Amino acid sequence: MKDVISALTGGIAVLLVATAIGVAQNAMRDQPMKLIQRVPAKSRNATTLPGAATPGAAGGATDTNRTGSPSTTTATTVPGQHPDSLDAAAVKRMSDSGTVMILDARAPDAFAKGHIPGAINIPYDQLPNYLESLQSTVSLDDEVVAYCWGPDCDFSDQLATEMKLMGYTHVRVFHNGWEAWTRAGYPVKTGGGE
Amino acid sequence: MMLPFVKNRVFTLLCRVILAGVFIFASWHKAMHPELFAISVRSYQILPVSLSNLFALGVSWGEMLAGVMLLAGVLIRPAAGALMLLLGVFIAAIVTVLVKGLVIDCGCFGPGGHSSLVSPWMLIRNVLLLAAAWVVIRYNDGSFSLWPGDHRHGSATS
Repeated sequence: MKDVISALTGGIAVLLVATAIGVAQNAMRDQPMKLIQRVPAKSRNATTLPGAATPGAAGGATDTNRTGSPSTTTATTVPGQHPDSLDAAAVKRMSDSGTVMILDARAPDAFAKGHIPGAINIPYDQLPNYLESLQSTVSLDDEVVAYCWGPDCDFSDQLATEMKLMGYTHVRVFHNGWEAWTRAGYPVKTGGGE
Repeated sequence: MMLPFVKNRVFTLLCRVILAGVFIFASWHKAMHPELFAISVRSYQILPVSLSNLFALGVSWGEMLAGVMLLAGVLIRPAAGALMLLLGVFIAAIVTVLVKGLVIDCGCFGPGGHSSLVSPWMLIRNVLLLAAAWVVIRYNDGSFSLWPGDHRHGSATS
C-alpha cells in the first residue's frame, strides 16, 4: 500500500509538470486557448425567445429527457414544466423571413427523420466533430436559433453556451423545440444528417 | 487471492507497454487540439466551465507525458501513479454521466473519429487499465528502462 501511495504522490508531480508543459505549448500556438474560460451569461435566461417558457402556461408535451433522446414513456403533462408557448410561431416567422440560422442539436438519425426546414444539424453530443462544419456555415455575427427535442432536452442550451464561448454573439434557444414545432403543425423536412 | 501471473516480469512489462500505448494514442489528438477536448470536458457538466480549458491541457499532456515515461522507462512508478489518478477521475466522470443519464461523446481519444458514446463498457475498460497501472506500480522491476527510479529489485519473477 505504501508504494501505491508513494506512486500516487509522484503521479501528482508528473501531472503538475505535464500541465506546465501543456500551458507552455498552448502559449506558443498561433491562437492560444484561454487558460481560464470566461463563463457566458446563462443561455436560458439570456436567450429565451419572446413568449417562451412561460411558467404555468402548460400544455401537452411529449416527455423528453436531458439526454436529447425522446423518452419511451407516454406523453405527460406537468403543469409549469412543459409549457406550450408562442415561441414555435416566433421561430416560424424568423425561419420564413430567412433572417436566422436554425441549428438542430439532436443526433443525426433524429434529424434525418424530421427537422425544421432549413435547419442545420449540429449534434451537441458530437460537437467537436461538427465544429468545422459549424464555423464554415455560421458566421460569428449571424442570428442563430438552436433547438432540441423540447424543454427538458438541454442540448440546445449546451450548444448555445459553447457557441457563446466561441464568440457567437446572437445565439438564442428555442426551448420548446421539436415537440412544439410539430404540435403546431408546421412543415417538417426529412433526410440529411449522417 | 493473487493470480500468480500478475508477478510475472513479462506480464508486468506487457501492462506497462499497453498502458503507454493506449495513453500516448489517446493523448495525441487532445494535445494537438485542446480546444476541442475542452468542449468534451464541458459536455460532462461536472467541472466549472472556467476550469475546463486548464483541465483539458493538464489531462491531455498528463496522458502524453506519463505514457512516454512508461514507454521509455523513466520514473516508472510515478508515471503509473499519474495514470492511476487520471483513470480514477475518468471512472468517477463516467459513473456520474451514467447516473445522470447523459448521452455524450466520451472524448476518450479526442475528436477525429475515434470517439464513442459514454457506456458501461468504458467503465470496464478503465478499471482494467487501472488494474494494469497497479500491477506496474507493485511489480515493475525496472527492466527495459532508461531510468526506472525507485523500483522493486527482484519482486517480479520471470
